[in-house]
Amino acid sequence: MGFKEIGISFLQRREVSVTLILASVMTIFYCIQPRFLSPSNMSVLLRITPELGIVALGVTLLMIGGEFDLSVGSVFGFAPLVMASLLNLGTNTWLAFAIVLIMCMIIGAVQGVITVKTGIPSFITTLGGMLIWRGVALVITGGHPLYFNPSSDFSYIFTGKILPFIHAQLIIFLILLITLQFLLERTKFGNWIYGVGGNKDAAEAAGINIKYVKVILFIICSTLAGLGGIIQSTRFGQAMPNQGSGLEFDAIAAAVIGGTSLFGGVGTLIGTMLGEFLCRIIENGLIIIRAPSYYFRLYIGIIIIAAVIGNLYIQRRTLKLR
Amino acid sequence: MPTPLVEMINIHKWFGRVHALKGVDFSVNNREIVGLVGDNGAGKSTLIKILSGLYPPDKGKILFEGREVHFKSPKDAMRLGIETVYQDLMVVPYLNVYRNVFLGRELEKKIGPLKVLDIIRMKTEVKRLFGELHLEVASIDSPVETLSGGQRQAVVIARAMYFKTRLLILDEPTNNLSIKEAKRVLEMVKSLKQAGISCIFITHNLHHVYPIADRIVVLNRGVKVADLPKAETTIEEIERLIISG
Amino acid sequence: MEKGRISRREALSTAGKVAISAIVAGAVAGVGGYLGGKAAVPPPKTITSISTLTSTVTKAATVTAPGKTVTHTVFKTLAGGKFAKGLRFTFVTHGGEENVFWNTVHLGMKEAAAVLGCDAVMVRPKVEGDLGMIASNFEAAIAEKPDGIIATVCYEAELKLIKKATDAGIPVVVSNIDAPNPEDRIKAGGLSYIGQRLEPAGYTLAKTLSKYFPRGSHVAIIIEGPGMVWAEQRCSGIIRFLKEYDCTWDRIDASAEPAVVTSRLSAYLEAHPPVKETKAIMSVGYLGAFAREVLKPMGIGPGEVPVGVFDIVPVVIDSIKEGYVQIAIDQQPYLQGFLPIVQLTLMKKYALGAWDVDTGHAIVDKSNVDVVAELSKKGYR
Repeated sequence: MGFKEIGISFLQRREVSVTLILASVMTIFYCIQPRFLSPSNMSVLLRITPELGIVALGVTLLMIGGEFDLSVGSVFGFAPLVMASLLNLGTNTWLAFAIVLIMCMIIGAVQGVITVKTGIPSFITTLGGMLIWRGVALVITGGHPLYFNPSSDFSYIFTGKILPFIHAQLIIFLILLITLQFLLERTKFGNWIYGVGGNKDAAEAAGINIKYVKVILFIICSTLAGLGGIIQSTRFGQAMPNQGSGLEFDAIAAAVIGGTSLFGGVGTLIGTMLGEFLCRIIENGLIIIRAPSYYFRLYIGIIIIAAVIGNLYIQRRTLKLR
Repeated sequence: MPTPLVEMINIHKWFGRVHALKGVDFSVNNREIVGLVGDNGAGKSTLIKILSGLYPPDKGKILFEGREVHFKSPKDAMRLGIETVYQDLMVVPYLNVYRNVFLGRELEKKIGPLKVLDIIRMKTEVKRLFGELHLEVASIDSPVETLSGGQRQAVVIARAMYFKTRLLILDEPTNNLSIKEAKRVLEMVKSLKQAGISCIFITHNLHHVYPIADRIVVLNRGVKVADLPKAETTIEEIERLIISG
Repeated sequence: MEKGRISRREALSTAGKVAISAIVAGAVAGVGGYLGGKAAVPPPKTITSISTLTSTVTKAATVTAPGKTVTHTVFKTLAGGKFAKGLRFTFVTHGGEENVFWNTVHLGMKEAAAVLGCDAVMVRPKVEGDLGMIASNFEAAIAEKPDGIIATVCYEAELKLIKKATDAGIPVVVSNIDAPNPEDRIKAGGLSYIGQRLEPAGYTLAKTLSKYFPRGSHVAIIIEGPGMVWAEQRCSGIIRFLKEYDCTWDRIDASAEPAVVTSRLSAYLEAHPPVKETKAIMSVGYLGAFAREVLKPMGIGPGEVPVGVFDIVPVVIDSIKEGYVQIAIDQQPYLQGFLPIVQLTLMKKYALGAWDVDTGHAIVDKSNVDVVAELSKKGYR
């Protein structure tokens, strides 16, 4: 493969657009305020991005498969609340963790089964889920935050400092990223995800069990949402009923910026990671350059559109190369 | 008379109150190309969808090599070697050629305890199949949406060839193709016959199917009106049968 | 095979075009944001004498002439400080972007910055009270290394962040909400607390309102932020008085949204009818003012069920005028934005220490509501 071939296949990757935007935004912030790239600031970003990034990974997989999960924010808040309640009853940390993860898997399975069996769009079922799980959280707690005190080995494994700027949650995020990206690109199941999202009828005609694939994706999505919430609560020592409000849109924005298509069949997890990182950078950068934080929503909106247009443009042009 | 490869006996199908198929008998022999023709709404698509396992017949039975079979899903039909190339081409536009050819039945290799896609083998096989179909393989890594109509057909035909199909059903394969590409598809179908794969060729275009078919079956409003070896009929006669039934 | 193949030059030019447009878009957006941030505080202008500054400030404070232009003029005349030139402060709050109360604090902060000639910025979370967002805002503020940070202790977890800032050499002053135990705040490095003493304020509200309802009554308390320090502290102050007054009470946990408060209050009053059972309503925030929406349809006239709330925002003023709200306790949010800036500036310039300020628990009721209303319109109270 000559340089041209490598260059072309690089440009054809969906992540090019977001990478360019990420590089430009970081450069601009750095020019205005060099402290933006200071090690302490970067370490802050590396600490907060993983929690939300883990959720975005699950959402991306599901979106590639052609479905949405709007309940991830609520599950993000609900899971740590349940775990906190169990811990306060004296349950062993790891047991409580396992129970809550299984609960999240069940939540995902229920949402998934309802969606595929009844044909109700996932947008609607998970919208219901979003309200239900948030509602249950508020009912259980009366709106009060709960103390979240897992055992110290748990805290260390999930949020401990491993190296000067590397915390455990970053490692966990990277492990999940690599594992899931591998699943997506190099296994049979991954091909099925792309198939089901890209052309449901073709997948069905090819003998793929669409229902099975989608339910598994819902399960993965809800479980990762719960895991993200538990990690955040471990970091703060509290489980708050309103934790994760609005997270679903954050995750979808990260995925779309990173090159995932809303219509399914297209997307990569690396793109989502870059998209998530870009969103956090904008949030952080605006504060660093002392711009009013009201601008955040405005900029994210502009960036989403720019990234998607960028993607389309690059795809169209490089499609003709070969 | 050797046992037919596939026999569909007295097939009825209703969609709500519409009686789409009214007791159709249809069979295909080994190494045979059958042209299934008829006007719109005749029931051709419905018949082959039943044969490929997408829906069950409401009445009647299906025999494969003399044994009765019941398909619960396309997978059951595929297991017996019945593959369909649909009119609305069943490819995933964003995936590349070999991922489409092997969609659902991807080739795998083991790395330790893990099963991963065997991309090298899939690529090799696709190149080989395309070679047999006399097609250029310039862009095996490109998404299928970048290929021309005829090349996309080739993808699906290649899929059928690889999976040791016994019976390939082609639903209007030459619609929307240029003359050159249509000719190529017909050549591919002839090579399939030589490779031992029978074919059901559904089309409106009698001029396409007539040259390569062994037998022509005409449906009209859910009823079989003719079942003739090619040699015993002409294009004009078939046209007449389609229209007037 | 020329068709379908684009030359390398063309491919590079395409990629280049996309990169350039991305950079340009990013640049425009970034610069716009930066300038937008700067525009909020006008650049300092030189003034001739300090006496002029003082008299202008006094004049601005009395505000005799109503109208929108007043703020603008005040700004212009206030702007001119060189005292704190070059200093940068960041206020990390829990108040959401839509929370009207915080606009007054913000105004106080902006005007202090204008008078003193320093740069001050307030960072608010997208979702009110979301600890995750507050924490990441706080961390970013710390990384930017301002000359001082003003924080609210909405959750005890924030004490860790205050400690982090202090350890990084950034002085921190706490405004609006103190830690439940001030010792904790001091240990974490919060040098002073500027705000209302929450628990006594709750007591004062209940006590002042008690002249409208008899001993032994049943009272409803609306909690707009269950679990948050400010709400719980005020609530415990209210309860302390109610116990002394032999009353019974119920907590209605809600959120800082009018819709939620009205629906829950409405449901509660259906079960515990006003006047017959519920003799008074208090709220730890200002949303008790929306009781009007619930009482009116029930046929309860103004004053039949006395209502006491905290903070003066437009809806509270209207309710007082109408008679549905009897008392509001003002914590003077303007001061909570203004004074921290003054303290931090003095600390930086003359190494002075910080000092606690009780921004008050002034009572606003029908007798003085009109004066307050005027100022409230301009965003000062």
